[in-house]
Amino acid sequence: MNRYSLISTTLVLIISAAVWWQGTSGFKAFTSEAARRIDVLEYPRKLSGLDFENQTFENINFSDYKGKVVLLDFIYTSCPDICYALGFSFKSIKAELEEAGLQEQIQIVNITFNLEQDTPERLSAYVQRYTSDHDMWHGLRLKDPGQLKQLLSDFGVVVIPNEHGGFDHNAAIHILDKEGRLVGIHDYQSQQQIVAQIREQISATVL
Amino acid sequence: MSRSILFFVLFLYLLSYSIIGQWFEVSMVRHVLIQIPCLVLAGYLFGRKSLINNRFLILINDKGLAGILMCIFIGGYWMLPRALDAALAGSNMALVKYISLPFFVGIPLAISWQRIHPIARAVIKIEFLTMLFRLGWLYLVSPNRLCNFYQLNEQIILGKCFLIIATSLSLYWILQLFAEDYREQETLKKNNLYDQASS
Repeated sequence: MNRYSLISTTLVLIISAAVWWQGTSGFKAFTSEAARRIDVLEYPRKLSGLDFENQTFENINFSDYKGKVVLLDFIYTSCPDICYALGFSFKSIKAELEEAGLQEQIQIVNITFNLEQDTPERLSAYVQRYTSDHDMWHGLRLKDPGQLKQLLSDFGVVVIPNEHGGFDHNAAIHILDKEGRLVGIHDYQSQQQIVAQIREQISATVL
Repeated sequence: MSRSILFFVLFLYLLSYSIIGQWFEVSMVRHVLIQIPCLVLAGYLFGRKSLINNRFLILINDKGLAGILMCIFIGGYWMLPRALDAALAGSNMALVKYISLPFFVGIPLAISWQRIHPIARAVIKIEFLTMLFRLGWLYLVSPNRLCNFYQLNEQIILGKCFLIIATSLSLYWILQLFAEDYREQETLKKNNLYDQASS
């Protein structure tokens, strides 16, 4: 093999290794869902200050939750399956934290991306499925539909309409720290890890 | 030469930025099984026609090693579900896809395939088949969506397509092995050499 081919082969190997390293977050994430989870763990993500209203028509901004650890998911109220699973997971996490006397320190939030149909009334009925505590558990909708794209891209959430008139979307539980940064994304089944991270975030001191 | 470049560029454009390009990407099956192979094929045909005798490329691609490695690693990268999502997320990755598949997969394949050792060729063919089987199986059994931009049922259809393609290709290649009489060819060659030596 000649000198030039040796150089070109070496270059190809180096570039390929770089592409794969970069493209898989160091051989750890082969799907974009795994990638966003690793990314927020390593780099807590600041979120845009968007304006929401909740199920009791209050104006809400993420900064209103300052000092609390926020558990958050994306939903639409007519969701037939995955949102129920998320909801019951929230309910069970809530129960576990209440047993430990930590209920004052957390806020549960469902954000709808179906702004056409999900009115505050529907959000209220949605939250009512799981709790009657409408302070600790908020259902939010954006006041300005034009900000939906920004909201979803902040979180790395993708919503696609499906053939049943519903939506396919990332089914995950998001954790915001006391300063409103996105610090964790988990499967709804991994209650242990979620509770562990919430406890860790509760005991973290705010600078 | 200039006409082949024109066709090449036109073909790439049709596959990527036009309405046809979007039509491919709406469906996971069309994206993976039509658009991506077509982008590679465009580069391959262009390479076969215009670059296979390029002296500089022959110089830096001795025994086809650099080219085939590039083809494998860059092509393999585009088999990751994450790469598909990235190409759809509205970033520069879409452009990277349209450039890298023809130029860094198709062209290297065209200029390297005839230069690499026949055993290496066979190994790559087998590895390609097993990759198709593995991906097909993964897409069929995965309970989660692997691409955020595509639905679960599309993923299952793609998995089945992968398995069908892999099965047909293996059958084709196996049958091909038994289509020719290799023993006779070897004997013919020997006789031929013997004739030449004696004359």
